[in-house]
Amino acid sequence: MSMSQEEIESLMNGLDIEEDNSSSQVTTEQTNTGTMSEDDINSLIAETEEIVSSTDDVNNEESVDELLNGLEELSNEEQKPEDANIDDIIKELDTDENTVDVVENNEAVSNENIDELLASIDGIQDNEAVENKKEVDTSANLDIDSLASEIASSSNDEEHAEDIDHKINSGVFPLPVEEDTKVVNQLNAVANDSEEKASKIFDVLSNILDYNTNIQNDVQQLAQFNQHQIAMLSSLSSKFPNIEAFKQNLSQAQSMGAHIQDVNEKIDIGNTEIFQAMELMQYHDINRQKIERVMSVIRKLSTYLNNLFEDEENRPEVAVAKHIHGDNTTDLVADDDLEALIAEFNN
Amino acid sequence: MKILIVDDSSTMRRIIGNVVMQLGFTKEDFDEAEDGVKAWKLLGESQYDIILTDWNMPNMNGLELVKKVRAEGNHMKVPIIMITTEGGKSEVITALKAGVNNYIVKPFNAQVLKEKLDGVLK
Repeated sequence: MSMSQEEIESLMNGLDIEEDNSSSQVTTEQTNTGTMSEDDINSLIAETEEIVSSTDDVNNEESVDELLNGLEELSNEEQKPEDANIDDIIKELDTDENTVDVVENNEAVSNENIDELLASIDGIQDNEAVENKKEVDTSANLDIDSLASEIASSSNDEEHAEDIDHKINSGVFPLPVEEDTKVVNQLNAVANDSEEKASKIFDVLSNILDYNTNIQNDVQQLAQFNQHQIAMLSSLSSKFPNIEAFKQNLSQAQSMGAHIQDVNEKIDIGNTEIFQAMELMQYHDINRQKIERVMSVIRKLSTYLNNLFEDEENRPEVAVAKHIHGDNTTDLVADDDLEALIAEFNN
Repeated sequence: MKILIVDDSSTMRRIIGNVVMQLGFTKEDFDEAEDGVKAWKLLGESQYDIILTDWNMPNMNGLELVKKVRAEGNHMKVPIIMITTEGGKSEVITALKAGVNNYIVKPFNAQVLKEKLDGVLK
């Protein structure tokens, strides 16, 4: 569907647009809407003198399909946070249970401590059997308690699940329809937020580039100083060849020069990486435009559905019966009950 | 040399500006506009040597801007490079017919922009 830079380049080189002979090429253009190869481009360039038309319809159909697929994915993704929330709640419940377990364990530990204390006292060992019995009883009680708490927590989970079902069915959950929860508004907010954050990332990258430039300026100063040192030490070393210190310092200064050069090169490599990161940030704009395309489809769908369900004649609202014969409602009054009610009210 | 960068995405304007600076231009060498309307206003106030514009923008899109620039004002002969995500063949042809001198599909790299700039400034 899209063209590469080379293809566009070829097209640019060969395109000589004339309006006159273009209509004959319409069908050819419409059939060749896929990705263009270099050869295709070249042949296109040869033919573009006659080109006029476009393949908008095909593109639109395909893009709408893609968008609808994307839309489905989006709606699936939107459900994830709810699942995550439910998971969080369950985790919280689990942690609560764990806390209870910990407390119970603490109780068991204290019982053991008491047993040890009792065991350490002479003469009380005879009662060990009785204590063991108590311990068994306590542990049994604990087991029953833990079972009861598990049952309670499972019933809580069920209630919780039922509650969520109720909320979903009654339109309260996942989100009520408000300005900030409408899908298009949410997508718009995401796009704007993303733009804002991308701008901040760009600021950070720019700052790093500025720091690197400052470092390189300092390094440049060091390099100049080092050059002067090398010149001086070379001169001294040649004038006083017997003094070893000059030679050693000259050698050190030269190796320092190599280090300085190395630092400079590393900063250059770092800068290149930053420039690459900046280039990659174009994907933010590309993704934003993808979001905008989805928003456009949602708007069109919304308009379509509104038109589909619209009542143009503005008929007055008719009172709707709550219970009609044939409904499976439990709140219906049987004939006997009806008579009884009437009789009761007449009295 | 004065460059006008037109894009509704501030990030994109900065990226293009950055690439332009990599090519040896300074911040004073380029102005930015976030849509065709603002670009047209700037074009009325200053003289530019090249226009780099996006296609899809609010208020006045890039294609409308190109047509307007080619039809009236002081920049009828100024080179225009369109930098856009629209990579379809029909879109490229439409833009070229409207009067753009070169076309870059996002994402692009500095080298591509440099080559295209060199090409249109010859």
